[in-house]
Amino acid sequence: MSASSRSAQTDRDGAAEVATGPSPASRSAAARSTTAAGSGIPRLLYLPAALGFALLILPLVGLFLRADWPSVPAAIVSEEAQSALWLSLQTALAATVLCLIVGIPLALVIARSGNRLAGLLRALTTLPLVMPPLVGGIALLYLLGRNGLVGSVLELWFGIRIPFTTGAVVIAQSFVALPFLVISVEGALRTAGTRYEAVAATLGAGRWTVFRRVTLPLIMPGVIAGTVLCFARALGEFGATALFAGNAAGTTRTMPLAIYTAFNGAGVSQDSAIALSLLLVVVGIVILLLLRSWRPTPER
Amino acid sequence: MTLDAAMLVNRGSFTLDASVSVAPGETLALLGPNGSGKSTMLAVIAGLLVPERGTVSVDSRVLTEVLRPGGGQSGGGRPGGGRMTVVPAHRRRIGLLGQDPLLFPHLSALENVAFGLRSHGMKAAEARERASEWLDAVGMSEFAARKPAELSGGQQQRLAIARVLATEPDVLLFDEPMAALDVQNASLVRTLLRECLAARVSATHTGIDGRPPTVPATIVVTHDVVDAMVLADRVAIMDAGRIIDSGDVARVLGEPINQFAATLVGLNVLHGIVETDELVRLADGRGLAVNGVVPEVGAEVSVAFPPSAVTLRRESSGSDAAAAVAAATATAGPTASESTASAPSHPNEWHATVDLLEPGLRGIRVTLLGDTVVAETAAADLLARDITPGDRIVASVAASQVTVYPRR
Repeated sequence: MSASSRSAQTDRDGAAEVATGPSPASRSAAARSTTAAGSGIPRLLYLPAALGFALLILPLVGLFLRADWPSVPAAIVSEEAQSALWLSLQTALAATVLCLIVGIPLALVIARSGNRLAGLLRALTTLPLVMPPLVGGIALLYLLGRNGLVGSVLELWFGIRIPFTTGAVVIAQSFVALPFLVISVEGALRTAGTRYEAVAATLGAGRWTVFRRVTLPLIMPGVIAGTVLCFARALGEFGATALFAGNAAGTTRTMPLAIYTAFNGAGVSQDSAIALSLLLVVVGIVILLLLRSWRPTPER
Repeated sequence: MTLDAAMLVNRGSFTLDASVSVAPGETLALLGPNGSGKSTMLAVIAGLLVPERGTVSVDSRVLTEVLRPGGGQSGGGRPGGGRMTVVPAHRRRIGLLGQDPLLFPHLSALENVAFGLRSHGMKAAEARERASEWLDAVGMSEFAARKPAELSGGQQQRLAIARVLATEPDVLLFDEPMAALDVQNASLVRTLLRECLAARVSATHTGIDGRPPTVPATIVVTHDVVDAMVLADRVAIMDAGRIIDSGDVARVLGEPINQFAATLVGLNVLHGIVETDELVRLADGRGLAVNGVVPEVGAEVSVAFPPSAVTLRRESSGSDAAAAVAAATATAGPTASESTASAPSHPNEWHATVDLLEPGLRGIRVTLLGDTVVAETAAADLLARDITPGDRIVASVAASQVTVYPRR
């Protein structure tokens, strides 16, 4: 329990640090004080750590430097950009909600299964992680397309056509984002264990009450972490969306697709692609920070 | 409410095969070392574990009934396959409190206590009011708004007691409730528990869930003999999944039936035959002088005495008879190993070699090589007598400290 509260603590610290955007000076001061307190990291390890950080951050810096700043405002407020951004936010949000609705129960089933079944379910659940999203898009097309296994039935019986609609975007995003949520929530469930649930039952709480008043609150940090990852993945999703939902402005052209279109588009300068990228990055950061700073009343 | 439980549980090489019965208002202490099956038994009673075979009932309410398929018992009258009844934990009205208080970390002290009441369908306001009465009863009113993490271990356990008692269960199960606390807190919580168990018949219980107030049956699982003494009306001793002795507290704790039980309750026990009304001939041929009430001559008896009744001295020291004998038969005192063969002149003295010194309850616990008897004495005493492991010593027991009782 102490370990989990410690990690929650560092999480919170980490979030706070990013949120306040410390100057390099204050960051290094913080590092010094940590070392003085005896965190005991071998000095040699700072080198690969710095390289890793550079790998993650320098490309973004490059993007900022390469941007043609005078033209950025115009590119951002353009009809095209606004519609893509709005669509991205809507679909990513919808996909995240969908993932929460099916993902938490799925995680619960995996976490409470016997070892062998849990291992199998977990492997299958994480399959989309190791699959290129493009392959996922193709698979979705073959399942839900007009001639697909389920798609043909839907079209024949209900007149529902899924591919190349906004719904398809949400499904594609959910497909690639769900594993992140399930993995986080399942980890939280395993850490929480079943002892609190057993105690709640002996106090007279039925299964729903236990789930609602004990299990969910206990795993909330894991749910939030999973939701953040899930939303981020949905917002950035490109491959599966492109194949399964297409690239129709207004209905399926999300930000990543708009950026791709701008970058390759005939006659359009790459500057607008960069401007859109910047917009997506900033929006992504803002949303992640909001999600991370929102926590249920501090638990410990 | 009367609890009756009988069960068979197989867990790999471990088998729990035991039954208990606890009357309303009675507290049974299940005493045994770790791994003897005590907690497993509680899990079966609480409905958290389904036994291979067994029944658990409270008065006429059958909570668990697992009969061996094709067995002799075909009763029940249910259609085929209805041999198994397992009422889920939340409908059993059996409260369980373990070593870890397991308070819900996201709820305040008050909400923790109100949780069970709310789960029984009580309205929020009423549940809170009742919960705050319970907080008062365990002396935790001022901490109502605190989260469990802001409370000490002792406070958490008091809160957990309030939480389980508030649901007014038919059966109360306590699983080593003091084991995780330091000595002082353990003693405070033990006292509180004693008060709560004494008061359970009256005042606090007003009936919830539309039921009249009940008088619960209580089981306290412990490996600490103090818990049994303070809390229980009856004690059962468990060893490797079986109950080896049970009965009145004074009898079970004061007259252990074998070495295992004796070690558990902190006594030495030896077996023998009454030779005269002042002497018991032990199984190994030693004589032990006793006084007080002794069964008739020729009866098989057990004798028990506390480790603190055993005094030790170095073989070579002093001018006592044994040392004189030792000195006479050997030239060098400390190496007079021949003296083992000859029984000491005094019936309650014998020679032995010190094996280990361990921390005991009231000082140092001294074990002897090849002897089940242990002694307990103050560290200063051992230092003054210069006794260390490997030393030859003379052990003696005062006849007045020995209890003699029929062997069972």
